[in-house]
Amino acid sequence: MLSSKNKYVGSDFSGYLEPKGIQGSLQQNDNLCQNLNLTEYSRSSKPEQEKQLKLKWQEIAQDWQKYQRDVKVIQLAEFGIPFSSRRFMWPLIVGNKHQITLELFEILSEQVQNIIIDGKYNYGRLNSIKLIEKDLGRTFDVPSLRNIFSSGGPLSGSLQSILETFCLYRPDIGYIQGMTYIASILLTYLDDYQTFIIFSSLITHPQLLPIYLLDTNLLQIIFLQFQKLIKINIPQTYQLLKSYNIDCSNFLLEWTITLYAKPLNPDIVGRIWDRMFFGGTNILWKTGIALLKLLSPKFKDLETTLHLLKQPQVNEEELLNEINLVDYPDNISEILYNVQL
Amino acid sequence: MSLGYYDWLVKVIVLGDSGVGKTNILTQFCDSKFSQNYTATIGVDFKIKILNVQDKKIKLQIWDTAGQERFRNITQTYYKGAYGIIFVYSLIDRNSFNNVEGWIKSILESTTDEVCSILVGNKLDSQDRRVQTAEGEKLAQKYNMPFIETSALENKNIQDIFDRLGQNLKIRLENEGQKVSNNIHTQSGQFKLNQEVNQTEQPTSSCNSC
Repeated sequence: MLSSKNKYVGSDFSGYLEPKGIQGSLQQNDNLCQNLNLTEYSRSSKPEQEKQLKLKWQEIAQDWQKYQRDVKVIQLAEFGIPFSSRRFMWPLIVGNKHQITLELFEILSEQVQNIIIDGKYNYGRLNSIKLIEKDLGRTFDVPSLRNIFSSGGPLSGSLQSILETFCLYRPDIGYIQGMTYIASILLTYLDDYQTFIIFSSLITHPQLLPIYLLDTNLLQIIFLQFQKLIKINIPQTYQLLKSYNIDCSNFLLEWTITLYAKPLNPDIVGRIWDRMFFGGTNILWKTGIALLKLLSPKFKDLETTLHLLKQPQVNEEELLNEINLVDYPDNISEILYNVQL
Repeated sequence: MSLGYYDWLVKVIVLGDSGVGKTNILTQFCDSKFSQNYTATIGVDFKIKILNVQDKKIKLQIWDTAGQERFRNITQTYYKGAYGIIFVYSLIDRNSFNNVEGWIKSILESTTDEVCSILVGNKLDSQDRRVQTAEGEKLAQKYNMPFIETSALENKNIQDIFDRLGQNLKIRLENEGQKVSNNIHTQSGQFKLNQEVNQTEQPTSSCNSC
């Protein structure tokens, strides 16, 4: 099970969540541009489209060094990487920037089983480990997913092990509630080791780490910029939220900590993550604005609004379409990009 | 949804360690159900319910908080303006009981407002009790708040939490109403003093000041 994975991890990390370095490769790889007639994918029927896309992504994976900076590939990702292709594509796109070897993962996951946490020593946030087991069964609302990950379910052992191992790997970060969602979604596609690599990359990503550390000052900056985005894109909603006294900690925190895996269904989450892996964290803020925009006609009072924000029911294509329409000015983009420890 | 007439709108927050049943208590109280498949609260959650206390209707705006300590910076921003606080621990989790004082102190540190509190020991349905009733009573007495043991699973004493809290809220709100009219002639700060006097006179039924 573990043997084939090293093929996909290792060399690349520059492409990972970095918007820079992607542009400018438009003219290269003309052959790919010819092959990737993007409009053809949107026109063809769903199963047919899926089949074509799968073949295309296989081709891309085989020659990843060549294709990884190709803008056409990124555009292709906007159609969604097929479910079955994510298994090999996500590890390729994300890479293994921290060079986490399989051996390290195995050592840590074994070590964590024997760890004894008592109150005597300060292990940073390692003691958050004890919350993990409790949270396994209380992650997803959807019964099918809940059964997979709750205690005794087929993937609950893997989920627990990955989260605990991460606590040992980064005791300065530890576990926070909400991380279960991210590891769970990854586990539906990948094996434990690959899940651990991508999970670690996400949590320690420069722009995401402040969120997982719940750094109050940096969160304030993020919330302020997000509020500006609301004001620019949906001024009426901005006024409405203000009049209800709803601030970003009511909804945006949960949305971003879980990278939308709590509020949205796993299919949409996959689509958003496809884009995030290629294009960077800005998709998170754009998704937030798009969601607000789609939900806002139903905002009536504080109660209905908060309820909708906690359990947004939106159409996948509509949301993805709205994300593309979000006005994301450079000055805000720059501040959000530079929110780092 | 709870629309309609009410006399007062009151903010209530629910505090306690992760997994003690805060969300389940609220779901049982507000939606009359117990959800086996509840999810961990991230940051804060929100519920609303109108409570009848004698002839008055109190609209409770209840903020459910994440139990994990690291969210405290976030949840503390919701303490402001709270009139009622429900401290919850689990009868089968000794640590959650030991941590109650920490939660009480977090309130003391961040708000000087007078609040009505209640201490709740949840999971009365379980056979594996780790905290005795007397211990809960003693702690509640120390901080001058009512105490109740509940089961969200079996819907036991859940309504009582809010009824008892509601009675104290009503007393406080009526006092405050008087204070507003009296206050025309008095200095601000007088109210606090009055409250403290009331408390020493009848410690069990009035609001405490944590």
